[in-house]
Amino acid sequence: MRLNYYIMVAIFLCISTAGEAQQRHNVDGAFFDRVSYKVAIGSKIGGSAPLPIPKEIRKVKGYSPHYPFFIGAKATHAIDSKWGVSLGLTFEGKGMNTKADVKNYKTSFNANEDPTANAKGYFTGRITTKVQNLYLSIPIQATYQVGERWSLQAGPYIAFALQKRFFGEATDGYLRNIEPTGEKLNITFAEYDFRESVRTIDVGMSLGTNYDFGQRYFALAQFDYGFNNIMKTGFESISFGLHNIFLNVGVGIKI
Amino acid sequence: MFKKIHILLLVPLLFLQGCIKDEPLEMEADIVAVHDVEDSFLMNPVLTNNKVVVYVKPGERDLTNYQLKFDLTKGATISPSSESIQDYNNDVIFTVTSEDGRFSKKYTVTVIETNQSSVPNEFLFQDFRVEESGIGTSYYQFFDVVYGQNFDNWGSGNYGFGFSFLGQEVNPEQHPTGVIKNSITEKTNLLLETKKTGPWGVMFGAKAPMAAGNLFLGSFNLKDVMKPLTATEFGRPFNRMPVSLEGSFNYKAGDELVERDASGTVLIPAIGVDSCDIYAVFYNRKELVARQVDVKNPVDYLDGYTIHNDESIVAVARLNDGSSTAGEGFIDFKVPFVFRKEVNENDLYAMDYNIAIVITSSKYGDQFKGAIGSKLIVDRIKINTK
Repeated sequence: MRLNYYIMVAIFLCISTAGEAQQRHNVDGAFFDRVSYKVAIGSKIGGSAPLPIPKEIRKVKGYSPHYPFFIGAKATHAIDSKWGVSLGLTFEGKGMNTKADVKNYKTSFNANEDPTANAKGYFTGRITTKVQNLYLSIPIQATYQVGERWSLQAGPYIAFALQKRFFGEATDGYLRNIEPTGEKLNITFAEYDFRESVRTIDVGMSLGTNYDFGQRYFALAQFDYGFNNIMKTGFESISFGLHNIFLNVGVGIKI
Repeated sequence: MFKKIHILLLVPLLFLQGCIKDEPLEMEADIVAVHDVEDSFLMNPVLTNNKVVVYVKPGERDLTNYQLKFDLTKGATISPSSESIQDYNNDVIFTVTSEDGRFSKKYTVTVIETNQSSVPNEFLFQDFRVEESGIGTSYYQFFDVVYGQNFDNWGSGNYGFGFSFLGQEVNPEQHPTGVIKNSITEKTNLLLETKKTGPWGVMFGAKAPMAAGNLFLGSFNLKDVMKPLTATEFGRPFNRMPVSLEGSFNYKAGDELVERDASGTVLIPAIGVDSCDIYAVFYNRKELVARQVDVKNPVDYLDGYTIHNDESIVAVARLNDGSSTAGEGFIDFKVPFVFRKEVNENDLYAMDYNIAIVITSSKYGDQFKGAIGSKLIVDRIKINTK
């Protein structure tokens, strides 16, 4: 239900921006004369991944995206015939399901009932991870018209997580207590849930291109890279940073 | 169309796979197996994180000039070297270093040559020490002294109980298996108490919200937290014909009987009253091993799943009534071994049979049913033999 609500809000925002765009387009001479509006929708592929892939991850056994969509609107102010600056609003999913074999993966677990009971050690075995985050992103981009049809966009974005989910299982392995020489504790199946540790704000950089076809339509491809670890500072259960890295592909319309 | 999408999904997977770094050097430093250069082991060596105990057949080898071969974690090194000649009349310390050189661990290797069983006939529970678990807990470990030599004959669930409090310090008195000073005799007695486990007792898929105090002849080796009954490896080699089991104890059942619920993680009230249990199982170890023809690493012990019903069981002696005893004093019991099978005397003298004594403060503790606070105090246990 919450999800539906967010989608409604996003669609409403897109439509109202578009509506506003049409009104203002006709105002003479002023700032808004040089502003154009676009809406776009599409799919994406990527994940919340460590970069580079740490040596603890031995084998990626499976991957599928989760919530692979975005829907957004953008207002672009033309500075001259080539350059412009744009401000947008995008509602998007950033999620994935992965299954990986890890070796000597340094981690810590908290027992739910007692946060003081903190087990630390090295896990070897299989880890499945399910990330299901929804963000409302605000990209600010410089745009550059390369040719008649092609344009490039680049700039930072700030994203606010509307839904945070990060959970999974550790299976078919063992934990060495504290150090790799510590007591060996076999783990056939253990669930974890780190939703509390997902950051609400994600800041990153986008780099993309648009290709116009027809009068009003365009195709787009955009690469997003999150600068910050998606997990909060002090989160120790995963010893490396996870970054939102996604490639978006979609179509849009100029209003 | 869907096929195409699948192929598209494969691209990042292959990309990710391509980014995977070379296998790092091993960080672990374990002795994973112990071999005799010739085959003179009496039973499978007992291997823990810091100890190796090897039982060799009597009279076959010269322990002052003895070689053991160690299998290690890939790439690890051992000092002194594997197969080096050592005087195993005393414990020998080996240091294993991981392949990456960052981690090392010391092992104490004990070789026991037994022409007699390491298991005496009578147990007074006067010999115990405080054992460091390696996971921040310390607990009482009972042993027997036979002909001046110490034998770690006894196992208990103390290690597993400590594990349920992982990350916290747990002292010996907080564990379910311990000792109590008898105010009249001034001696120490064995004290077993049923307790609630810590938060990890029901984590990692473990379903052990409680732990009965227990002590048994054998080893405790927590292989899989989801199957705690495989951790109790019951039995030690025994070469005398058992006739009866006797002893003295005092038992006070806890107030409220509880059991774990269907989820396995929560204790709920149960109908009835708790009782203790003391029993001995005499079984044919050789037959047990011989039966596992298709098994790569056959086990030579009975565990919590098989202790009552395995085909290798020859005789059982079990306390008739484990309910609360009157007053503070001890009551005596004596029960015969009831034989299910014939005993081959030659095999018996060659120590092909094992005996397990199991003592617990909650009879159904293995099913996680009992009363928190049930206390069993044992003054002595004796196996009468022929």
